[in-house]
Amino acid sequence: MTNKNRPLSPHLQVYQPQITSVLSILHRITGVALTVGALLLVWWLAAAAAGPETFEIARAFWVSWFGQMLLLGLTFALFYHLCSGIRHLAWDLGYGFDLGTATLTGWLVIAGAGALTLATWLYACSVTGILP
Amino acid sequence: MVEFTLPPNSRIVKGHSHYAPRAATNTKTFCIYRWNPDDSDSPRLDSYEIDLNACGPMVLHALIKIKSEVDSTLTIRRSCREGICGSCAMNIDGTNTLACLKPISEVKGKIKIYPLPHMPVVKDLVPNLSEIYRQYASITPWLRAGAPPDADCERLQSPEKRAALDGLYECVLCAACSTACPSYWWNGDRFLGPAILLQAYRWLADSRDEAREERLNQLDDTFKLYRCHTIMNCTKTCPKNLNPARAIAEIKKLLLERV
Amino acid sequence: MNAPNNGTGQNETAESAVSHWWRQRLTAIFLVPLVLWFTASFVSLSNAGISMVREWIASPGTALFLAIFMAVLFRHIQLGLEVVVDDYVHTRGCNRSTIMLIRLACGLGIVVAWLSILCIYFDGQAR
Repeated sequence: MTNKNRPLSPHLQVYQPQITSVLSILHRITGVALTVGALLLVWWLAAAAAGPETFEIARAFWVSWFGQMLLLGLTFALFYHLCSGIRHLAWDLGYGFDLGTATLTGWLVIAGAGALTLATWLYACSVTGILP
Repeated sequence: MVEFTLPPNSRIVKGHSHYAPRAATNTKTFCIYRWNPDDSDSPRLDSYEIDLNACGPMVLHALIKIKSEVDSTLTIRRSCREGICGSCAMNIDGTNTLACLKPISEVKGKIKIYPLPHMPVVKDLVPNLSEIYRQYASITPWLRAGAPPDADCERLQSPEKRAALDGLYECVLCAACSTACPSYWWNGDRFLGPAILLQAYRWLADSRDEAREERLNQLDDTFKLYRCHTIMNCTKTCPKNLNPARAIAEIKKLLLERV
Repeated sequence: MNAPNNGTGQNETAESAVSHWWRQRLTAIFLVPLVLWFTASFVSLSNAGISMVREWIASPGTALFLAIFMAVLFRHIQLGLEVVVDDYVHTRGCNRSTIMLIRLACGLGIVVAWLSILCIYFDGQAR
């Protein structure tokens, strides 16, 4: 037997992205991204504890163009991971495994995350006075 | 670290083209993964143009036609040609299925056919499934029970308890689900994968089996079971419309009951 | 019967695989209300200066829930990242050191967050 030289059949290279696997890897990516968010949150808390000068640095970062983009991304990541996490908890209880249901809940998660992100930013804009 | 790319000896190069007779009016091109252990070449993608008016409706019909009429070196596994034996599982048009159950008409454009993903290739579309069979043996896929209550009578099971096996016993072990699972791609040496876990649950769910605790002890394992992250590619691809993801979730529920 | 393999990430505590899985779910369940409460509060502080932020944190209810939130959050992060590392990092030494680093960082995250909250809380009470 010539086992050693056997090639590995193609996998990621040829497998068509499925709604199942794409949403799954997105759950993981958003989870890792939110880790960064959590660290930034600790920084924000520590800055508030440290005093006005430090807090002003943190604040300047958040209101900067980059900070705002980051916040927007983190908001979506948060709501996606939340909605998708609830979907996973339902699966863990044994619900929602039919393929039709799973596809539907997948789209609902995307729509829910988008809607919650939009609502949060509209609320933020009204708080800051950008929107009446 | 997991390798997301193919090793150098596995990269696919352009292959040979075979054309249909000039008179053919209704043609379809099949691009097929080829690798021969007897020469040291890289895997290649050969294309075969087939006259659909002289071919059966399923992808397996086309493969058999190619083997018998165009290129006899093409190597495939097939037996029953009706979705019962599980031999002709392969990656067709980007997803895993049985070639005998996949209508050619379902695929638009060229039909790309690869062996089951992330497996060692024996030849062409034939992957080495030894590891999966070893994993299958590891879950003791047989009834484990003491002497029957009545030596003259078979082990009785109520219709309700028998119904608990529906959706589990139908599996033909074609391995389409396991090789569609990214988690199985990255951890196939230790993760049992959806096909084998569905079978593990088939014996857990059998009212006649008496080895439930031992079976669960064996499955309470970070790698054997908990590499399943409910990605659901298994259920999405199963050619028999079974639901390995649900079976795995049921195993996790049984384990949780013991915490 | 094979000896239970509890994975590279979990050998040291010798816990069963199901308990790691369960604690990830448990922290997730607690995080659902906590994260909604925190996000709503955080957004309503969008325009706030440091005095308003400190005033919010210094109220006993906020301080308590914020402390719980940060602890549960970092526990969930730790459990989740361990799963990711076990999935992709197979070299034993690399796997172990990455997981130790994750545990250290998550522990540190909780400590810094709690110290900050306590500091602001007691400062607020002193006034």
